[in-house]
Amino acid sequence: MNEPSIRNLHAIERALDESENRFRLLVEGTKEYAIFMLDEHGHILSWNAGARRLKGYTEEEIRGRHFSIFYTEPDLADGKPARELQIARTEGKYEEEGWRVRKDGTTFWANVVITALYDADGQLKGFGKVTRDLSERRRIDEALRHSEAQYRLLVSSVKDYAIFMLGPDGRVQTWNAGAERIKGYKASEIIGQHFSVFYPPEEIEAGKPVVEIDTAIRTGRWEEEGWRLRRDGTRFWAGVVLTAIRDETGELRGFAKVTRDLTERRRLELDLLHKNAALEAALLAKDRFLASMSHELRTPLNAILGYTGTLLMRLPGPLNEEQDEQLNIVKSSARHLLSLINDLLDLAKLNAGKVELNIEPVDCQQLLDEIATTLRPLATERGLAFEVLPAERTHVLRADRRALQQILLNLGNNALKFTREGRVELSFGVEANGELAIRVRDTGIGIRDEDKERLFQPFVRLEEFADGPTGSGLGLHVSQILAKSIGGRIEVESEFGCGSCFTLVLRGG
Amino acid sequence: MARILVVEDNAPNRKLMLYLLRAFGYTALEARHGAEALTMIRAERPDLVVCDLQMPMMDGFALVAEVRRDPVLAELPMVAVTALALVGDRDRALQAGFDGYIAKPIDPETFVAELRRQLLLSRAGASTDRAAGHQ
Repeated sequence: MNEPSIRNLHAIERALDESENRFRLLVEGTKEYAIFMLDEHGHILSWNAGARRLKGYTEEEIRGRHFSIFYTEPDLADGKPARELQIARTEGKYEEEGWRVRKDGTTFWANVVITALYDADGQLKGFGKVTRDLSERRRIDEALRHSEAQYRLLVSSVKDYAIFMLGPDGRVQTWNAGAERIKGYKASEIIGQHFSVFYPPEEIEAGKPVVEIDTAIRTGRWEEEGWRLRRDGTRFWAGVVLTAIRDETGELRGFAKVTRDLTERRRLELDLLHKNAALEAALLAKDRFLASMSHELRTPLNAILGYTGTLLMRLPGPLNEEQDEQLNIVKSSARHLLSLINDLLDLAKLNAGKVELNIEPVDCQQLLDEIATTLRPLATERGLAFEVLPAERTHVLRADRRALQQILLNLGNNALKFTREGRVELSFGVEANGELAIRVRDTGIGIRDEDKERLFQPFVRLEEFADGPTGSGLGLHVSQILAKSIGGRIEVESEFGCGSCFTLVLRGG
Repeated sequence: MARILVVEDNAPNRKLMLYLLRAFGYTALEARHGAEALTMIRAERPDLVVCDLQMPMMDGFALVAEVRRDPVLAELPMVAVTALALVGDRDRALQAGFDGYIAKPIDPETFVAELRRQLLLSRAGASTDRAAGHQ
């Protein structure tokens, strides 16, 4: 060997040293992996930062110890360490995942690779061992497995819904308790069968199962309510959702099918429909009954009032005083009967909510003038004044004119009936709170405080009027209901013996 | 005096109207239902028809429809006198072709006066129509 070649050799050795050095630094510095060497019998020769972190031993503590120190009792009893080395020796490499023990006695899930190391002559020099801590990954896997198991348990034990999977070919793959309960098949009887067995023949003929599958494939989902068959051939009304299941590449994996038995709900709905129809028919019958009652009652009254009238008009001949008086009683009784019929019909219609409101602008002044024009003849006949008090300015409200007229005619008529002398006054004004008040004030006999409450009840007749003016006993009752139907109310103030004031109060005067 | 046809199935009420009309000097004819009335209208050509609505055989609505359809009779004034006195009944009668509407029970003191008014109205209407026709 000459000098240059020796120099070369030194250079090569230096280069080798440097490279080995770098490599050692790399290994020693690695923290994520425990990387260490074993001799051919399994004693630890080297240690790195990762090994220290993973297993808890320092290099001084562990060097020279046998690597079986990292194994659990059962693994040791099983002779696992020796077997691993044997496999590595013969196959060149041993790899597994398993439990390993830290210095502090705790265990961790490890990925282990043992590699047999041979020198240039093929002589076994020992083993390289790389260990990774997979505890975290294992924990996640376990959690996943656990949640999957729970989910499976949940689905399989749900009883109210049939939840099951179909393969891409439409054959049943899974079956839960709900499916068994609703459809009557046991899992062993139905798995592998095509889901069209759940359809009635006419649906199959109409191609329903195919349409459902096609729609689910195209749009991801099919939903409907329809008839399905149980195992025993009976039908049930089902709510069905079919969802296409695809993997991450978009490949169709099958279908999830959720079916609910809605037979009872459908029965209730149909029941309700029938009841509604029956109710409507009953209401219609009631309307017809009211109309014919009105007609039938008026027909004889027409003859009674008509002939009483012709007699009182003395068309057939003269009447004596007694006859005249008695015929007048017949006439007023018949009129009373007529007003009863009219009010009863009004009441029946109001109670049935049959009154159609026609909201239009109504000029208050004009309205009161019309009422006065209608009632003034009666007032004059009774020797009473009937006045509309002038307002500062008129007021136009939006309301149903007929309802307003009927209420005010009722109140005006009452005022005239219960006033022996003096006057009846109509007035209107917008109150401080913005409400419109239409007042009918009289100088009549008034109402006792204890009677005010009962005033608006049907057929209430106050004692002091037992022999007094007659009416249907429904006027105020109907008026109050009418007032409510147009969003208002009737209030009463009265001093017994001095007079009364009935006020129709309307919102948003 | 004008001739007035009373169409009414209820005898007391028919007699009442006939009595009132005759008492005021009108010539009153009677029919018990629409079919009878139609024959009589064609034969007697009354000046006014007073007609109940609910009747057997042919009711007031059918009668007024027949009359309005017939070009010879179309202008004949017809007043409904009816116990159909609920809301909307008046409008229904007028829409069906009646010229007037009186609800039962009738007021004997004003009944004939109302019919007289209807007669005057229809005469005025007819002369206006004729005048318009000549222009």
